[in-house]
Amino acid sequence: MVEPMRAEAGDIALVRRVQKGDKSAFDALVLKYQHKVLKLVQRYVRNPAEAEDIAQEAFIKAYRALPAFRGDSAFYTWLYRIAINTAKNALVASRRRPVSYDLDLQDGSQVQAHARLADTETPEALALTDEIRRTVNEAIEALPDDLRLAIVLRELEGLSYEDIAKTMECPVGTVRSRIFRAREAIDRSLREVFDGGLGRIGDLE
Amino acid sequence: MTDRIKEQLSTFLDGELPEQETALLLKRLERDDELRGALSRYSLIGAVLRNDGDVPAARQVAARVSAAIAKEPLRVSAFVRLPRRDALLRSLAGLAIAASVAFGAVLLVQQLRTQDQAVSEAVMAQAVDPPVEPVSETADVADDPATSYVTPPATDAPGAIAPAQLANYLVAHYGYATPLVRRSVGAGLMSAPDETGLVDIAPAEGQADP
Repeated sequence: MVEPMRAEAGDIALVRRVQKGDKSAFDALVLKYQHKVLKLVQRYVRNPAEAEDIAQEAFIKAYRALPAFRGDSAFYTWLYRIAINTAKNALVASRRRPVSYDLDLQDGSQVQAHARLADTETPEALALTDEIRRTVNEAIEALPDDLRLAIVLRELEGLSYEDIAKTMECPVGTVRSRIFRAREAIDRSLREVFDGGLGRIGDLE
Repeated sequence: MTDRIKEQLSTFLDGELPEQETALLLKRLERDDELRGALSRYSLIGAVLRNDGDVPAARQVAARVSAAIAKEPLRVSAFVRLPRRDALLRSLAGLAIAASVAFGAVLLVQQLRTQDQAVSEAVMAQAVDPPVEPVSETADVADDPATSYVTPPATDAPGAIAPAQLANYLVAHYGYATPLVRRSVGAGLMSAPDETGLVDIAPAEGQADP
């Protein structure tokens, strides 16, 4: 999926703020990318607690290196490399092997490694992940057509608000409102998941 | 947290929020945990929609990172330390200085060439014209400048300087010239006395004295 150009420009604007000393801008970048980074790290370390530690370390490394970031590449591309290196270093430190999702079941060592790592996944974490995915998909299906189209064009197609407005033949302000209402409707369902016992809403930050 | 602010948050996530609104929202994010939670979930929704696989919900990453960087020293980048306008002004000033030096060098070379040409013509004129009686310093040399010993002949060359003046000027300012100019001018004076007119001028001045 190609990152939308507008989102990249927004990231660069946040990066420039951080480079001027605005730490809250970095907080926003962490909130925005923590799930993706965690997902990335879990390719190497499946234990959720350990993966969160590594993701945290990657973000702190990124913060320390950010003064030297010139913006030649997208911020997430740069962050991606830092996260990968941090995860690899953690693996080396713990003398474990990285695990690919594309497992060759004929390869006994990989099967063994996969089995060992799978043991570290907690049932709660797996259940929460499944529930989140199911809830989001159901909430999307339940949206009115105009809201669903707006958020799909944004999140899946990566279109700018202006392009979505042209596609949907409506003002940009309407696009902005529709995308927000779509997110809010999905978020309402999502909060019920966390409030329902699989996790507490306050935990998800 | 109002819907208006949450709509700003949604727009911010898409990189579509104007700069001024972004600044205000960031300040609000700093102190509003509920808003931070909403941003995290909006981001999670996008990740799930893009089918990034089994997206895990990061529970404590943002809070822990925020706490950690709060203890970090402020890191200001060298890329943004200098305001763009100042940097531009400094660049322009540097260019202006460089251009002035280059222009000055071109003028100097042109002047030296013109002077050389003027001196050559003066020497040629003296060689061709028959010797004449010295004239007093009060004589009106404008009538026949080519015959004057103390006032070298004028030439048609634009901006030409009389050889005597040139020689005096060069000697007087020799000490202030750069090493490169000293070398080239000094070499010119030493190797081509005829062209500078120095050899001819000295006896002429002597003859003029009673």
